Amino acid sequence: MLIRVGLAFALTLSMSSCAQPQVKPWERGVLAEPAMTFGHDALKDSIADHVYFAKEATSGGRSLTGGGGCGCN
Amino acid sequence: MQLSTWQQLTLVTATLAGVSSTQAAEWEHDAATLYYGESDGRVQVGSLKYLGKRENDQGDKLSINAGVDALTGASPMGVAPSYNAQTLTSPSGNTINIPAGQLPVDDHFKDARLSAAVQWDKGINEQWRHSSGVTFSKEHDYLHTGVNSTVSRSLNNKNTTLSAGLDLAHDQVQAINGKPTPLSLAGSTRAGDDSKRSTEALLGLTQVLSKRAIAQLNYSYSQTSGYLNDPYKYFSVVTPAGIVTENRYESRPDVRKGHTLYGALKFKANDKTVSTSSLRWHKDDWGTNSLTAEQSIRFDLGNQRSIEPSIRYYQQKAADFYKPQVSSIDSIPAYISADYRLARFKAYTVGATYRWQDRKEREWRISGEYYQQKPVNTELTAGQAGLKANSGFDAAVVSLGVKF
Repeated sequence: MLIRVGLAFALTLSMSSCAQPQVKPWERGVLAEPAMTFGHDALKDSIADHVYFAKEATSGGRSLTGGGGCGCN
Repeated sequence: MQLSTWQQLTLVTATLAGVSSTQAAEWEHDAATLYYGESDGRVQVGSLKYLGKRENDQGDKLSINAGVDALTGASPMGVAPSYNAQTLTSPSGNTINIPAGQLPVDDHFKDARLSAAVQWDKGINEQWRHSSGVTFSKEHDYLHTGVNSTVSRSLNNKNTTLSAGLDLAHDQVQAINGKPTPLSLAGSTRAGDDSKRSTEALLGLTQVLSKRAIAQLNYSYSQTSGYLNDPYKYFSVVTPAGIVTENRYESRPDVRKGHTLYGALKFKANDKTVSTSSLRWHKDDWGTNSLTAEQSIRFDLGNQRSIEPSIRYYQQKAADFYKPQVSSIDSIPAYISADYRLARFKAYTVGATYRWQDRKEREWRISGEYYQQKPVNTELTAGQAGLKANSGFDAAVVSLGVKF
């Protein structure tokens, strides 16, 4: 398992090095837009995550789960 | 007016982020209302949610979450359907008459949930940040408390961010009429509360791929131990002729360990189109391995309006101890649950979010989603031929939110 995770991280890190030349701060206009930001719709995401948490066996992934709750019924 | 270097930097940062320097130091509010309704009179939920954020001149952020949920409707108890009418006592103490051929549900349940969270995100220096928070939620029969902490470091001229976080939770199960003894007969004495502890560790990587693309990869390990049963779920013992002879409380292992790998990609295809894709892979020692894929595309309609259709696919394997029922000629296993959420199933969600801005620059959004859960291999045989152990369900989710 840890080997798989390590390989995935290594792959992504190598992707990041392939992304050279780096994007400069003044070239990030598009990346600064709300729609391009992870977690911009935090409330909307948390609502969806809680619905799925109550109805499916798997939860979390995109961030630390937090919140909690019984999820009974 | 002479601005200091720091003030100029703050102004530039705020301008790049698309807000004025005044707005950067004010509270931002996000409020939403939600309706969730399942088919066949099953679970109905109404919710109000709030998220407030305040960022100071140094970029430190305080976030406050609060929410209230009201739940009612009918919920499957895990009891097997039969061609004979059944009368039974629900786990919450109500007498329920089940007509022949119908899936037994407890249609008396009602609950309310209050939740709150506070998070503080602070820059340590140019590269390092730290975020810590507390979480709380209370239901009539459940209490959750948790703390979390994450450190992150930016690299490569802020094109790469690495993060490591830990979440610890302690929950109390305060079941109505007390907790049942696993495998005991329905109607047996129930007494006392119990607890469970959860730990989740997360390693994250966010990488700028180009001027128009950014990716995220998270690995998380979770471990939950303690009382992991649903105190309101039975399983049935059934004869080959299809007669339910007894109902017993479910029994789950008291530890669950899981691994989750999550990847997401945002890509601005053109001036008016942003694509967001994600994949999640989960594996745990209960056997409920799952795969989740999501895709949404946000189209800018101009005039601060946008529409974002989305689809989601989810599939999971059944827990190793999931059984829709036990034959009366077999012995009862140490661990067993007939909870439909631990069954093998596929689920599909389609929906869309429409966003617009009003004259006071408040950003509104309305979302509608249709969710369908389709179980696999649910047909019963012999004396129950033609009946389904798990019928699946459809649900509609409608949400209205506003940021101001």
